[in-house]
Amino acid sequence: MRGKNLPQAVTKLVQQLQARVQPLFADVTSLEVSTYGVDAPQLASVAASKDVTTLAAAADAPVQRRGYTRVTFHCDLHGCTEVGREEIIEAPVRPIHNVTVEQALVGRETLFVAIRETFSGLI
Amino acid sequence: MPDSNVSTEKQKDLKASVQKFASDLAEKVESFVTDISELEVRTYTITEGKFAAVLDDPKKKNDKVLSGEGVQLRAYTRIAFDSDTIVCLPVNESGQIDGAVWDMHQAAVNQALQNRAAMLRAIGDAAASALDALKKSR
Repeated sequence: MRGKNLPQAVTKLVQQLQARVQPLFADVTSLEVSTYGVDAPQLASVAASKDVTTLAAAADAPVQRRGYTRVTFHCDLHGCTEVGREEIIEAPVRPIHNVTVEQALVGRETLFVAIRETFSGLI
Repeated sequence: MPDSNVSTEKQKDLKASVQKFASDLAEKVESFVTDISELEVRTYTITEGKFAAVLDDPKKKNDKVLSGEGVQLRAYTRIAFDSDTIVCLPVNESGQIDGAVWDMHQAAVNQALQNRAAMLRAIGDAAASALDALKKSR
């Protein structure tokens, strides 16, 4: 019985991770967080949509962007430094939106560390 | 000698086990990056008394999305691999955000992010150990 080949699968894993990670270490890269308010009965169908941004842009859309933040980073071999932040946030969603932005930044960093450790264990 | 036969048999078993583990792991590794490329968290409320009917329905055990009488989606978060994030929250008829379950949802999102990083580390560790064991078993 011939099963899957582990060395080949691991090589593929490293290549796939590398392909995903490389754009994140481009000279200038960014992180975007959007908070949407959705007509309550429509929430399930909006969540099922693959492209909420386009959905929100339509006239009479049941979903509206209430908060948006774009954080820009400058990256080099040593890591990424935040160099800019643009945001438009409505006051009622500010606490919720800001928590999500901080969480996304921490999540991004945690993922980078995990990827770095995985690479060093496998290569 | 009977003793050495037993020992050889055990070694064969061990080698077969290592190869089986490596093969199973290879299958997981192949789809792993796709599996972790997008994270979705949904927080629902369920009408009192309907909980068991919704969650214990064997036909819906593997469904990614909950549905049924009394089930209401109250918060939704989607996080891409590059950490771009969208949050969807319901608004009531007067346009106010309903953030009643926000704290709970937030805790679940946090947990999901931690789990994704931990899964990545675990699969990396398992793959490194299995590669090592494969080398030694040859």
